Amino acid sequence: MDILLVAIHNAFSASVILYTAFGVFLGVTIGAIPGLSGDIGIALLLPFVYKVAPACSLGMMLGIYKGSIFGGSITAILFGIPGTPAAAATVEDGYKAKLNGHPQQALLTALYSSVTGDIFSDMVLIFLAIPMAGIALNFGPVEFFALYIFALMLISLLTRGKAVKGLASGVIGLIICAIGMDPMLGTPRLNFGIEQLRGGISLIPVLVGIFAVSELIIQFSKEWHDIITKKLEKIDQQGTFSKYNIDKDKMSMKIYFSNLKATMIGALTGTFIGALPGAGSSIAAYVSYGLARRFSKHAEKFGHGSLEGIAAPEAGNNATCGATFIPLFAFGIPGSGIAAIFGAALIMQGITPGPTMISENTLIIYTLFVTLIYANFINLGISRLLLPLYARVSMMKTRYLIPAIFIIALLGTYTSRNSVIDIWVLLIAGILGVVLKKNDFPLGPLVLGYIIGPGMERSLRQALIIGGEDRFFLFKSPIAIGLYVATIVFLLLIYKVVKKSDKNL
Amino acid sequence: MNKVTIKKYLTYDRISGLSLIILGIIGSSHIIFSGKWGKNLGLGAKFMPQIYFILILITGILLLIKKGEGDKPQGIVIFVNIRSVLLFIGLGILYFLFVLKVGLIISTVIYTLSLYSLLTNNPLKNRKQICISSTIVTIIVLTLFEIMLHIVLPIPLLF
Amino acid sequence: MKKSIILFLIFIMLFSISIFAFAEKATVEFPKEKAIRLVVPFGAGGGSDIASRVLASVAPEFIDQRIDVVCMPGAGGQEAINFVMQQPTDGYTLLMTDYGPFIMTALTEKVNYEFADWTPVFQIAEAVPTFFVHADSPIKSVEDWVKAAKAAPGSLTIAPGRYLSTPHLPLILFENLAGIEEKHVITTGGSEARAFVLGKKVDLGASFPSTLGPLIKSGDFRALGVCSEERVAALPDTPTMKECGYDVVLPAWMVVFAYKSESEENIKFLGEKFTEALNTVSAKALADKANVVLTPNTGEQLEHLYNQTIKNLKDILASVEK
Repeated sequence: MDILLVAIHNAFSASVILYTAFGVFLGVTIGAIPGLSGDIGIALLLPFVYKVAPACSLGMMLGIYKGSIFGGSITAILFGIPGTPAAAATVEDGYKAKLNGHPQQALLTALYSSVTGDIFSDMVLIFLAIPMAGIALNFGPVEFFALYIFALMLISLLTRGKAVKGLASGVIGLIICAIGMDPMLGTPRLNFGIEQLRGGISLIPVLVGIFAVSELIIQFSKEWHDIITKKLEKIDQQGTFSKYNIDKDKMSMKIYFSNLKATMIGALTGTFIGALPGAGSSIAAYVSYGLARRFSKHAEKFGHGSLEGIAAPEAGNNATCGATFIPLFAFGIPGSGIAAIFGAALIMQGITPGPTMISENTLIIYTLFVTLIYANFINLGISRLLLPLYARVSMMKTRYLIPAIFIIALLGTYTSRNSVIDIWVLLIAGILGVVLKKNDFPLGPLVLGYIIGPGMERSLRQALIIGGEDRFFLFKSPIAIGLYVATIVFLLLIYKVVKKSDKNL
Repeated sequence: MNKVTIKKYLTYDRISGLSLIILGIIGSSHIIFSGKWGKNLGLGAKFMPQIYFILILITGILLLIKKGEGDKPQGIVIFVNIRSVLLFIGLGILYFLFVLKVGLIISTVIYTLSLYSLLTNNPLKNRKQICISSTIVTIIVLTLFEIMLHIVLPIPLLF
Repeated sequence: MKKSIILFLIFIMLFSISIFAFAEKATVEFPKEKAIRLVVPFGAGGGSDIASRVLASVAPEFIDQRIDVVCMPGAGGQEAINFVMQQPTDGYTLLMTDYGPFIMTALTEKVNYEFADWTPVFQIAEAVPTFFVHADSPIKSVEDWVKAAKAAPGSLTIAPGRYLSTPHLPLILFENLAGIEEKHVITTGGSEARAFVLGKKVDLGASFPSTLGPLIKSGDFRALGVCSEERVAALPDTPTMKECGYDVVLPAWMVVFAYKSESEENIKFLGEKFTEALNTVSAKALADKANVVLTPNTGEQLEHLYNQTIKNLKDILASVEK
């Protein structure tokens, strides 16, 4: 108990709070830039880790991490461009909500749900890390493959009635992720002799290209058309901002509680998936979205600006923040890139992640836990102040924003890997996005296919290696069977719901 | 079959379907005829891509035979044409090449000036506004990428 | 009035452009011009990254210049290698890697460099591949392992990390020497391998003492053997593979390389200063904290190690082909 009190005292010292707050601000800004995510900010800070007190450096890194996961949602909602892969699922309803004239409501729903999901998973990390990690360990190749099939099934939810086009879009995503390298052996495949494609096509340029560049091309074409047809003069007279009444776009506790079911679905799903090594926040976001839609009383509103459709993926992706540390803290096994970086930071402080970490470093770990919790409130406070400003900026006339967003998206993508080939991919993905949008192909399934592809292929091949000649090895795990049954059941139920909701539109 | 019938038959959906079929055939042929793809550990590297291309072929066929209006594009995407795409992408490529070769600040200034001029009805008349917008964007980009993130760029000619 | 302001601004711009374009660069003593960059072809948080950061934290005061560590894990490490190759060969951008993406890839596939183009500057550390099992496993020693593998050939599963990685190669060598056959479950890296063994999804695994340590200490894992000449300080009770009768000595070195270096002097300077830096008490303390085994090495000895490794790996690969 004494140690806990000392830990609380340490965690609430001015320097730790300041570093954490700065981290949150940095994280939200970095996350909002398409192409950049929290990993880059944290990796940039690693040299400072052992130059400042452990609690301060860990606090700042936590702030960046939590801030960046939420930051990605800002551009997802305001411009239809996910700032981080985790925000890809938020675009579905978030951007529509903004186009309906409710950017602030959408942003605040995202913020409140994110913080709720984050706090939930932090609590699970603090009190249930070991049992959760034990459950996560039961997931081997067979179980992961079943999970990926379940996630792929959710593609059908993102197709909005265009089942065949949605499937095609998803398979295009799977093909894009297959280009470059065999995920098991690293040997080149499908790179058509182009040396630079050996490493495969990275997610960031695909994501930013498909969403951001394609949208920019479309907006540019519209503005260009208005110029040519001389319509712009009339629009010029209407000022810099489009018609936006901020008073009609207020958020209330009533709205928050009406979306609480979706938020909690996201929180639970995100925490579970976040605890699985390798699963990732984007998958958590999509699965949360799918499940929330399935269990929502207003499923027909999903895809048209539903606040539940924002709450669920946001809670889902932020719930992975705390949960991703579960395998690291319990066994010293980092389950994600961010966890690996944190692991390195802990190691450089002389703290070895693993089963004995808490007992050997009780004070610093308890300080970390307390910081973990209050970082959420700092995130809430800082983002709450910044959001109305962002909402205002987003309602600026598109033609003022086009060059700025393009430059930021392009340089952001380049900054993440310093790769020129990424920029070519960005531009080609932009053209692809335009072609798909023009032919009414949904984009969500493409992103989901891309994210799931490598993991699905790898787990299938690993499972078949382990199973050897046993043809039914894939069905010999109770967890896998449960997931397959859930997939079929959901598929049938979703089909019914989608048929009903699309009829009503 | 006259031109009108062909045009009527080739709806957006059918063109998409045909494109997907072609993609599926090219992809599957490439996999079948390209020979050994590295060591065969378990399933091998060819299996999954082959499945993907077969699925694409199937979706292409389904789209081709689907009955219906053909889903004409709706919304502002109807304004997209080859010219606007080429213009935007072309300027983007030039901008990036300039950033690498000439320098971040100059390229950003030139790019923003060009794009704002293109998107303004009377660029000469509104030159003050254009210059201000361009300056603001350049300052933001500089602060974000140069100062905060230390973007790693090849050594440019200028700045 | 407005015209003259505009003319004045244009003049300032042209003046600045000419200053930048035509100003001559003064020659600066190495390495005072800019920060030294260590490019690591692995993700942040891995063994190479941490070893680089140990060097980056103690060496600056010896060379009077900052050292930045940049991780570029793309394309199986090739991106980092290509990046270093594209930078000026002035000794400011160096590659810090083990032999996996650097030598193995070059031996198994077409790459756009030759081994002779790279000069080893300095060896920071060494990691010893270690074979391990779950504590509940009936396999208690290397002897049990060979017995079980021979009793049912191809039935045992082992997770050695990435394909042809630094834990995978010693495994192949061992299997050749012991005459056993197993299923290799290739993973994304050491973390996944450890997770599979911990979850009892595979029978054995191969990883490094720095990451295995906590789980061996807590009694979840048992280490069977290490692939080095002598026992590892972190695992004093684990015999070497040599002690068990199999000459599998293939430690994974972490070496800083320069590409087509313009100046031998600069390389020598860095090698000497880095050696000095890593022999200090603070460096050793930091390395201990971070579970890094420092093995400072430079000059001819390092060159010999580099060439020897290339030869060893060629031999192992030849046996794999057979």
